[in-house]
Amino acid sequence: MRERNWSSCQYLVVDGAGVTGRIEAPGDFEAAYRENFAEVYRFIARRVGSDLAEDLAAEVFATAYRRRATYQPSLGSLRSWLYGIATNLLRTHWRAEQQLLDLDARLTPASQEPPGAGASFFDAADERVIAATLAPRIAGALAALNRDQREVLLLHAWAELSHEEIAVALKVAPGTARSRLSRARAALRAQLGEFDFDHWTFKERQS
Amino acid sequence: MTDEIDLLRRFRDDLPGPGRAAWDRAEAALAEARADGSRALHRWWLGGRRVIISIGVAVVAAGAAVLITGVLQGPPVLVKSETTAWQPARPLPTAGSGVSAAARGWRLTSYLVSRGWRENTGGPEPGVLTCPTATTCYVEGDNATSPSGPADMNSFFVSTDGAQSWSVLPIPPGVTFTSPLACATATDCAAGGLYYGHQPVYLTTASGGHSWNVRPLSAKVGQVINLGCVSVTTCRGLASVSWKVLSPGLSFMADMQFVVTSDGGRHFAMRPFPKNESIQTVSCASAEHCVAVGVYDKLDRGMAPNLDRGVLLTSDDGGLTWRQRPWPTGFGPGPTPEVTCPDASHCAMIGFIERNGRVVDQLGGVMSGKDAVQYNVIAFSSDGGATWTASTLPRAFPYPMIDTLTCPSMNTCYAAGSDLIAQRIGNTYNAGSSVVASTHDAGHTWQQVTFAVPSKVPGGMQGDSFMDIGQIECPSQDACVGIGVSDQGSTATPIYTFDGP
Repeated sequence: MRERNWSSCQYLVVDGAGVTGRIEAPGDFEAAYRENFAEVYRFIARRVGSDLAEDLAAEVFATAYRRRATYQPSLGSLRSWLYGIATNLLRTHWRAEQQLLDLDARLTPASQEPPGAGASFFDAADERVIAATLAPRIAGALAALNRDQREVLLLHAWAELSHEEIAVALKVAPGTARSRLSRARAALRAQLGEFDFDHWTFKERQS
Repeated sequence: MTDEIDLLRRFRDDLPGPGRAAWDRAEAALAEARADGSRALHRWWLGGRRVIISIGVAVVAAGAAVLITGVLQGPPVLVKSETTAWQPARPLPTAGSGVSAAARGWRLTSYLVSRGWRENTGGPEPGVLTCPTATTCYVEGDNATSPSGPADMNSFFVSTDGAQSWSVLPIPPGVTFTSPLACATATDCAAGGLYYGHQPVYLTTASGGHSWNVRPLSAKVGQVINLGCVSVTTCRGLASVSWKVLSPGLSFMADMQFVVTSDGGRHFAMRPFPKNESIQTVSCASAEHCVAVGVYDKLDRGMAPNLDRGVLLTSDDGGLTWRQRPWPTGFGPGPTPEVTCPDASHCAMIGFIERNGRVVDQLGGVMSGKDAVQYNVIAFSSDGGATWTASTLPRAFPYPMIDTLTCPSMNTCYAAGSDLIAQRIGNTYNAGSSVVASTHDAGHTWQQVTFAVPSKVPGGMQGDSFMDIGQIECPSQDACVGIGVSDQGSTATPIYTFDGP
């Protein structure tokens, strides 16, 4: 089970229970599927939308089942292996992903009002306001990244994979994953431009 | 201090987890995978969107039916040829009347809306179009109710007035289509199918779908995926022995072979293709000459076939033997390979180009990086498929993704699909438009037609029903019918017709 630690905005594994070994036996695969399906589905849905996610998430696990004998726990976590399959499938749907980002980038925020300066980051209502207000800008920034940058960034942010797990998922060297993530973060920051991370608002450009 | 990763984590964070439909979809896919690969998903790529033919779900549904009836002996098996009684066609309501979206002689004419028949209780009818003549068209409909679940190709529609109005006809119980309909005449047609989701069958009709003959196929023939008929009894096509998909996410089938029947499906001759070559499309313009296009089944990055270099074969003995041809330079077969030959010398195929770069759509959306630039070209051959020249579609047709190609004559071809011209749908935009490109000089020049979304989208459709044309059929040089791609669950599909400039 994973628990969100709001103070540091990180995800901590507070319960290590789960599938950790090989998944060739039907019971093991079933457990792996039950444990990971919702998370993988949600990752895909965030990238390409719910409709396509139903197909692709199903395909991830059907593919995983057919290739379950090739999964080697010693080479990386089950999650990184599953997200690797998901990432490969998503590559054939880059246009759908791009279209979704483009649409989000053109959305009119539900409220143009940014949260007040004193708004608590932990206030759920404000979080929703923040999300709604910032979504078009974030979508625009993501849309401007190249595919490699977006992949590595979203595997880290949404799938919560570590550098090492991203390396396994993308079949690249750990150092490559680390540097790619670093560059992707920098590129996203550059795209976000005048964003004030303290107050979660975009600073008005000086004319 | 928070950072950009925290910000990203808020983005689309309110999306719900998988609903019942998603779990059901996954269970069906896993059930299929567990069936030892013998019941792999078969996907058709229609208009850039996958339509999953309901092998897996049909198997599940058949199993459920068995349990319900308490007969624990598996789904029904067809042991001999059966012919259904003649059934009348039932006219569909003209739900789309009064709504039009005209474009240079093309117009949106009608909508397919199902009602009432046993096979069509769900209602949504995007599907597969076949027009043997300028007046007669058929649609194998997708009756699935889930917007994203497996397709259920078990409904059938006919138009005898050039796609202006449509009627529904019943098909044999338990049958789903696995190939487009192939017609030798206006009323003599054949198709591949599955019986209760587990048994390959061959369907024929001599009455335009009013009555059907269903014949079990040998396992050696496999599941018929693609078919063309040069006479009432002689049809040729592709069949997959294993029913496996070559790669998840793409429509390619594995273990394809060339199949021929010359007695209406009673017997089939099978010819395998060269090892490691997975043929996906074949066109036979004469009894002897055929051209086949496919991909190498050695997978790229372990997941997908190489879409930038394909397999090209020709045959001069009706498919008995195949001759390897060098793959043309400059384009690949792409995710929707299609070849069509109006005569033994002239052929056209959809080519695919991808390269590193940057794509900017009309509204400023950007995609950049490796293989970010993707579009289709149309390649032409005038020596029976031996050599090819690629023709680029007009610049006004940005980043075309072509799903369908047909050539009613050696110089005239119609290609349809989508482009990146944004369309306003209510208060938002779709990034693509339905388009048709036509040439009357074998690709030297092109004319382009882009369709607008009607100002009032009719009930049962969504705005994105107008983003893509999945198939186009042109029985003559100036008579075409196209069918739009609608999400499963839509209750109507746009039909586009062209009756001359």
